[in-house]
Amino acid sequence: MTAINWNKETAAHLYRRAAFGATAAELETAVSDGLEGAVDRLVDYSAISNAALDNRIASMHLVLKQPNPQTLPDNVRLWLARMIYTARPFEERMTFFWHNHFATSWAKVGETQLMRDQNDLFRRYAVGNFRRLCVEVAHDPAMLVWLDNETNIKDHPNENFGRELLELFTLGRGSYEETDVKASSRAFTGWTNDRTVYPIVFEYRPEWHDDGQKTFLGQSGNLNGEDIIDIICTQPQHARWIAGKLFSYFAYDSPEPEVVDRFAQIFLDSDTTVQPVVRAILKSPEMYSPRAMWTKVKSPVEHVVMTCHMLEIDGEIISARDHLIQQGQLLYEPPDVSGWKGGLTWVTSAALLSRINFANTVAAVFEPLLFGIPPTGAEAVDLYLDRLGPVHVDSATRQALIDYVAPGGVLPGGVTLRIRMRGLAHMIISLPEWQII
Amino acid sequence: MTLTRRAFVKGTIAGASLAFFPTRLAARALAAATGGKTLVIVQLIGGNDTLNTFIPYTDGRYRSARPALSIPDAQILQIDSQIGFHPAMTGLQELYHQRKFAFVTNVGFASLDRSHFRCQDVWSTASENPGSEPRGWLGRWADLYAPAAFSPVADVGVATSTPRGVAASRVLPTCLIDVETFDIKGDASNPDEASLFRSALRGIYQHPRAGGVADIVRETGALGFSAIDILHTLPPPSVVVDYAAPGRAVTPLGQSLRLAAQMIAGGNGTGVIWVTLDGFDTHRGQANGPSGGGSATGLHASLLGDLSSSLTAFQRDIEYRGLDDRVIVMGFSEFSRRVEENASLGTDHGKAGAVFMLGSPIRGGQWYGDPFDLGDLDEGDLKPRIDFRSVYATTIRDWLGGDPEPILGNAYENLGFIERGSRRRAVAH
Repeated sequence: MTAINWNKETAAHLYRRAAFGATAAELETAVSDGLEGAVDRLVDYSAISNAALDNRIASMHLVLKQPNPQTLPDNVRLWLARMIYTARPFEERMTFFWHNHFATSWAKVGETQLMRDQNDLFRRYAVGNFRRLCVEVAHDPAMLVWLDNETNIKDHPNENFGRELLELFTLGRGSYEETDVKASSRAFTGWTNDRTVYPIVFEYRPEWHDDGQKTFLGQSGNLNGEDIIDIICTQPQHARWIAGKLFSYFAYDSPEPEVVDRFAQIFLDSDTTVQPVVRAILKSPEMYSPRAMWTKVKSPVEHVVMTCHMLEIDGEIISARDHLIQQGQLLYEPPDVSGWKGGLTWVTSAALLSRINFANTVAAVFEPLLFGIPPTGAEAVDLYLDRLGPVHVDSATRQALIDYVAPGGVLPGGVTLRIRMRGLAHMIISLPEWQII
Repeated sequence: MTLTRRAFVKGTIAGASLAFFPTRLAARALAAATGGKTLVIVQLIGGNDTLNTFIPYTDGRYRSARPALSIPDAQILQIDSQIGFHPAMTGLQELYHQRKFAFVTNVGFASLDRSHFRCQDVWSTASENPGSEPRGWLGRWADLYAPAAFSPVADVGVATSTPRGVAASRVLPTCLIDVETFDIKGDASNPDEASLFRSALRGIYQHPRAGGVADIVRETGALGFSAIDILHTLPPPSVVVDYAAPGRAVTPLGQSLRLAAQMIAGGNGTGVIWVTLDGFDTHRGQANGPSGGGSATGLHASLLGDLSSSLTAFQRDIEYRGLDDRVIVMGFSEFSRRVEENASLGTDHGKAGAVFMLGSPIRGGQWYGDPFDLGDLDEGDLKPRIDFRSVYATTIRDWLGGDPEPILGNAYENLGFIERGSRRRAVAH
């Protein structure tokens, strides 16, 4: 693997994958920081103040208490604002990763407060210790509702959580037997919610718990839920599962086994702490290899957040939530416990039209003077392609963009110039090349 | 414009945008479509509980396995001396008696493993090693048999992602939720500028890229732009059939099927339409307890009620349009559920289940396969006795047209649930 050539291209790639795109100022800083400095700046965010974000959120007058129906959209507005305006984009990137990993939907949980508490849990543990995060998730009221563990009772165990914990959260199919699913489910019996208080809280009910002998992944005893997670976290397959998923999220899908093993070892060596693994992935040659660069489809959330962030929109785009619904990635409502399928499944005709129409809404409030207005159509196109990427297009596409902005080679004047520059931003964000990262 | 074959293949939804292409060519392409036949797939996501759908009500073991969830005899919609339908399925019971509805029992595959995601992929790809098969079974059919001139595969009612069952390599499916949002908006205050924008963007999406993901996006976009032209000229939704239950709004499934009927009536050669109904993962609260209305009410009842009333409306819609000899519906779910109920008024993941078929060309009013055997279970689940690929093979051979073997990799039994040969009733077109 060759050395990493750190420049505007690779720095922008890092910011597309590990943040939500870079503005011109962010990109300049990242390039001059060098690879190590740029990655560390993203990953070591705990000392970075988010006061400006907090002020912005305070000024949004969000309604966050049910039963007001506004709590549902406002919960989504809150997280989108965090993603767009945070000074710690990596924190939101990882929170988003965990939301998709422990995919829980408001559609069944039905209480925004619980979803927000779970979201705060993911943010708190964004780059923290996985074992502790997993134990917290097993106690999380939203998860207990979502995967029915709140009614997992010893006489007739409910296997929903016990199974998905293994299949999706920690090990992956093929590394355990049905008997392990049964043992895991029995171990979590009695982990329920106290529904006599509002909002509901975790409660352990000893009379519901199965105290019998259980054998899980070859270890026997009167195992409880924490024992199950402890046993899982010592498994090499667990480290491979988590490291592989993190690597795929940032770099590329279906990584080579030896690449996964390298990062799995870092995960095991750090006692399942995430930060050293993600740091290593973001500094690895694989991260900047041709297999990684421009090979992923932007997810709808990435599309919405990057559009607002890179066009440096100050006001709020209220229709963002509608577009996320049309494109199938409403925050807090993944389709099922395996999360969003991602990749090429985002590429449907209806979803692309929704992206194009969202870009139209955003471009309508974009201020062209932020990017400047060059004297010719060709310079305008090159400037916008640079600011919104850099995006690389073939000469025919570049010419088509020039012909749109400046038919006959002449930029229009007056109010039409403004419309056309906004149209140019809209069109670049609508390009096939802008849908990939 | 320059008309390349590639643009023609990828540039239309399923049929031809007559505005784009020479009329004679388009008409020939239409005539060569699937003989005007459409297969509608209804995917029940989450694992439908077969035993509370097609109920073996005379088997005492059904009641003993389900003290809380079994449906009381008096409420079951009996179809014969062995099986009755869930009380929410009145419309489908009627269609069964009209011989337009049938089901196949104990359907599954040897490696059913109770995983939603793997089992969905197996059903979609018709491969028990789905990781090695990127295309869906209907996508492979379309790649082999769809007329070269255009894609007859269009899936309707799924906007969020392409159903894996129709993923193909030569043809592309189109996804949408509704016609209203399916358009390119431009500068709202200036129609001329908006129109300039639209034509520039359409132009950019016309020429192929060097490859990679960007070109897949481009092709899909170009397809979508052409689909806009077709979809905005579809016949209107039915004014005769109301897809809404009395006093209710039309459900998303009803909306999808209503649009499917418009697509079929549009005559654009749409061969496959894929719609979904989610929510069948009823680990908990599958039915209400005795104090809450009893086992015939609750989550599963409302899902089956939606399924039954939406499908009944769809069948009536296409009958009124005189298209019912051209349409069949197949419904499946990734697995069925455990025979024994759990302590949460629910059921856990199971194995074999049932597939249903609907349509005038279906040999309905009967069911195919053995009775459910609750005395011979696999770890508490129904055993698969009919390979799901037999259902697919029958559908390919007797409906879509073509040889099932290269698509499914093996020969499978023909179950005979589709009427072959002459039409059953004269239809005016």
